[in-house]
Amino acid sequence: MKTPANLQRRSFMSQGTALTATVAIAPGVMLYDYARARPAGEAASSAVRWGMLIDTTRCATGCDACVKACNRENGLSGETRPTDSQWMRKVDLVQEGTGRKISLPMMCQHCADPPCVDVCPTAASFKRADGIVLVDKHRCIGCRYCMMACPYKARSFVHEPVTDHSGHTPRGQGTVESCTLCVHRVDQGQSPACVEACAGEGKEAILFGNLNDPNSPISRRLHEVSSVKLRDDLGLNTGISFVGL
Amino acid sequence: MALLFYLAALVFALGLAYRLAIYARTPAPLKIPTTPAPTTQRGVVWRMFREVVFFESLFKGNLWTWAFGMAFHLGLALETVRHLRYFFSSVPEWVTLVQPFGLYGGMLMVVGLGGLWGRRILVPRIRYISTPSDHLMLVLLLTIGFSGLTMKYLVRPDILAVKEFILGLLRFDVQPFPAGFPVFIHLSMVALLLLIFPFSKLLHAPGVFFSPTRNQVDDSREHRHIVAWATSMESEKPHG
Amino acid sequence: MKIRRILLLLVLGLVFWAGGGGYGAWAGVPIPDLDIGQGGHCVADPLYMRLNHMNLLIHQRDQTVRQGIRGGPYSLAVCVDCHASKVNHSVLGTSRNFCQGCHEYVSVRIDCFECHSSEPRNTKAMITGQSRVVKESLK
Repeated sequence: MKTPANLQRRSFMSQGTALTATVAIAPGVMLYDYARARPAGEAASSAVRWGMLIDTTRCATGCDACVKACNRENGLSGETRPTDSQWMRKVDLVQEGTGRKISLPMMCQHCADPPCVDVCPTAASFKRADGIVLVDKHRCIGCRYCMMACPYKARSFVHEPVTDHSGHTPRGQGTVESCTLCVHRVDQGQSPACVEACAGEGKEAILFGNLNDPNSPISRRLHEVSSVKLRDDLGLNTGISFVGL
Repeated sequence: MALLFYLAALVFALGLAYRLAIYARTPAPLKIPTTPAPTTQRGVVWRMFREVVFFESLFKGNLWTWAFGMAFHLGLALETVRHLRYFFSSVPEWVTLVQPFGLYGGMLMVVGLGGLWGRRILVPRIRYISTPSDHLMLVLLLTIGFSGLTMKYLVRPDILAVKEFILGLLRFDVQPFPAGFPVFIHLSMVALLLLIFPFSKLLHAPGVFFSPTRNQVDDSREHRHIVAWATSMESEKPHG
Repeated sequence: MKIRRILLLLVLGLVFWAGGGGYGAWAGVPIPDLDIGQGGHCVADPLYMRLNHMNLLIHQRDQTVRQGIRGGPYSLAVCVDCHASKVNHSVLGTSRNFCQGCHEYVSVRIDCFECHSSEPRNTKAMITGQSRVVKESLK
């Protein structure tokens, strides 16, 4: 992961944070406006590209409200054994030398050129027109190539029969799954569960919106502050960007 | 339609019983097993098993015919088990397990029949010796196979009504015949097949068990048949 | 010859047993006695649904999953909402339940509920919202 190159840039970022603090209050309201529910019968359009901007300077070590919200929303157990599904994880980093601590949520980065889609032998892994990378579990044969291909370790395999279907996401044994960007909520005009939970904690570290709309809060923010995409050297053009790394 | 089925079943059962009675009573005065033949009764059972299950002699005779014949018979067997679901009011587990394989059975059956019919049409020598009834059997079975696959993949029938109809037949509580052209074709062809079974070459099914070249023990030396008047001239004691 | 006669009897026995299996022989045709739950007007003619529900579901499911088209009339959740039994609040469970009853009768496997919920969505707002969409799309 990249670390800030010099002091100058770091001071620029703190300015950026201050600047966006004002914007970030508004997006809570404005977001709803931008992400209006698509009318019934209308397909997702490539005029939209959903993305997130995660501000690590607002993300607190020890806070896992987003992870809990994700688990609750999607019916995940929340266990962290190797065989348990984890769609979202909290990662704590310490910068070598300076000892600076960073905490951030990690999940599917919703690449524009997703390697998981490239390797899928059944075309179960796919990218929706609006940029959300999903698994069509009706087609998934559970080969797990996508899990190997993903540089972010974002995908999980369901090892055991799912008995609790209370979540909003259908899940089943023998298929691979990952963050859906809460596609069911997004299609209804809501923001993903983690975004809502983070705002509920008063942190508002995750900004969600349409990257293709230059006037959306997320686009304007990306225009203003320095952000990085993880492993940008791979050229995957992820939909998730980070501030403060 | 129900009447047709009862008639067909009756003709099938009585005709078959009549045929079997004839087969059973037909004398086989000479030991003519095709050699090399087993020399014990157990050996004959084993040989018959290989013949019935693996079509051994056909395998040695003509590989192509064997392959298509095998495909057809295996497919028919699987498909028959799949169809048992219409005959049990509560379907046993093993029939449920076979369902997807029965589907492959149906395709295999059609492929096998296609091959066998192709043989009758394309091989001049076979075409020359083929009678209309040979073609009829294949066409009948192919029609049954195709109409079945049509119902699976193109025009679905109301299988609930199909099952009610069949269970109704079994219980003498006649139910309305299921709607749909493919069902009509499928079931009436099956009835026709049942009707002509006792008069057709399809009798090779029970007939193979009566085949003297297959069901005889090669023990003409060990168990000689000696007529009564000749016993006095024998040095050996006659066996039973 | 004796063996053959025994075999014949066995086969006959099997046929009779098959015909009578489960419900007591010759007691008339057993037809699944279904608990249709809430029932009412289905999204299409019941006979049409009986023959085509699987195609309708698969078609709409592919559109929804892959293209994100939502609110179509033929969703599994809508089936379940209307047809879950009022006894056990599910379309599965016993031979009387809507989905299981028929599928068991004709021995067709249902994969749906390995992933999807067999119980109605309990959020009332969601149900009314969905059925409104259904009505609109049927017009």
